[in-house]
Amino acid sequence: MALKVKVSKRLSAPVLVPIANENVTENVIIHNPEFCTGCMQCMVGCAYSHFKTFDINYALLYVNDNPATPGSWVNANCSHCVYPMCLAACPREAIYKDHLGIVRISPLKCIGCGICAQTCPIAVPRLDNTKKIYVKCDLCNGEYPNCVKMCSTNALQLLPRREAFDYVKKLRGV
Amino acid sequence: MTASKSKTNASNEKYGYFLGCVMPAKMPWAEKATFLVAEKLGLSWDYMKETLCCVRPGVWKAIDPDTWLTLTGQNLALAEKQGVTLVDSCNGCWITHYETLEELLDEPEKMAMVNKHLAKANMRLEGTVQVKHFLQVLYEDVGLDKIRKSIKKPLNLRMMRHIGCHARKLGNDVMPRYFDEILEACGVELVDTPYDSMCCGLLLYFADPKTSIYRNVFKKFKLAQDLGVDAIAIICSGCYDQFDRGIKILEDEGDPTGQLPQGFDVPIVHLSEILALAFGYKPEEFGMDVFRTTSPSKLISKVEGGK
Repeated sequence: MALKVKVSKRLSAPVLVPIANENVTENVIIHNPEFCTGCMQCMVGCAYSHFKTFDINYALLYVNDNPATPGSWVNANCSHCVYPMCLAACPREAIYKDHLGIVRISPLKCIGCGICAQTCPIAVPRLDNTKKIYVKCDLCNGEYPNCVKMCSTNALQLLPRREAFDYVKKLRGV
Repeated sequence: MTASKSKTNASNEKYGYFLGCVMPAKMPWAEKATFLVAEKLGLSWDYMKETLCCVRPGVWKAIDPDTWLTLTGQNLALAEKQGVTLVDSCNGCWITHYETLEELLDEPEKMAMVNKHLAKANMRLEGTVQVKHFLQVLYEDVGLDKIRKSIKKPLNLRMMRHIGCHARKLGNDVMPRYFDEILEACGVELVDTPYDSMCCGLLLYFADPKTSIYRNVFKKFKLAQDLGVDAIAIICSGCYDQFDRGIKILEDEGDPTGQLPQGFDVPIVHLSEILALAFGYKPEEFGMDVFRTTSPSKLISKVEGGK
């Protein structure tokens, strides 16, 4: 299917992906770098709840050093977009949205090509080395996410989409 | 519904000090200094008796929240039975007690679940107990004025401070501010660094020891060494545990980047030690110079030399 994609840098204008339904999750995970201490408890919690290990390499969200300002941290976690680029780019149509609006990768259809990670603006999907397929955040199946529960400083929050949008605008000074 | 916000009169409140695991094992000087400080400030201060492990939230919250609530609930029930306010100076102990109490008060069905388990040990939790951080006791109950009045010998020292992650849970303007103001009241000059808010790495240690030591601990130590500060001020025993281990590992295993602070000699001191020194106690009175990985002898001679 040929895609007509309109790209804009403004927050209020998302990139349109015609093949995606507009179902969205009610809440979304938001990270405030002002409070983050880089303890990585979110990654530990995520790795445990999905893979039953405390190895942070298994986590489905990422906290990294901010190269621009030492001592501060940037976070990449899935926003379960209205128009997910990963979904649009997947050549096998392995990525879909469920009834809650959670963007998922079907392990049966995924061939591990990695296009989803390349098209995602913050490269959220990652390769699962044992299964050789791509895996991504499933928002703990709509329950209260473990990463938010484990955050030691309230840097991660689960907010309703509208509130989260205003919060991010405020953080970015838009 | 907050566990620690109600106003109480410090003079007739009984405090039960929850030691935790690291303080009695690695920080006897901080334990003694805390008691000296509490005595000087006229607090009704004693150990909380029959304590169990605080139950580390970072592990148990992920594995099984119900077990976490029940095990931590035991400590709360014991404090309630003893009629004391539970005081923690370790951030990990504080956050686990604080969050459990908040969660149990907010959700009665979880309180019922915890009480069902506690009943097997003849215990019961009503939720009337208060949980406070040592910083809250010092700043909210005692007050900065009283601390200032008790100071006999302002310390002329330059320090980096490290408050730890969980103490930021109530916001950057609560406990981090208390910590800074108390330190400044003791005459300490605080050096601002970009790594002030960075985690010590303890929370990551069991998952990824290399990153936790070489990214978190190493960066802080390197900076402390470069800045030539007299000490790194801490409040959390968990952070001390990590720093203490970090020094040993960095000395033993070396540093792949070749920037290892050889002979790292910046002592990690607890807030209660700083207060005890400022209150006029001698370092020998609380054994400041024994049982430490980095010797505070330079700091002691500087404090004693400035009489």
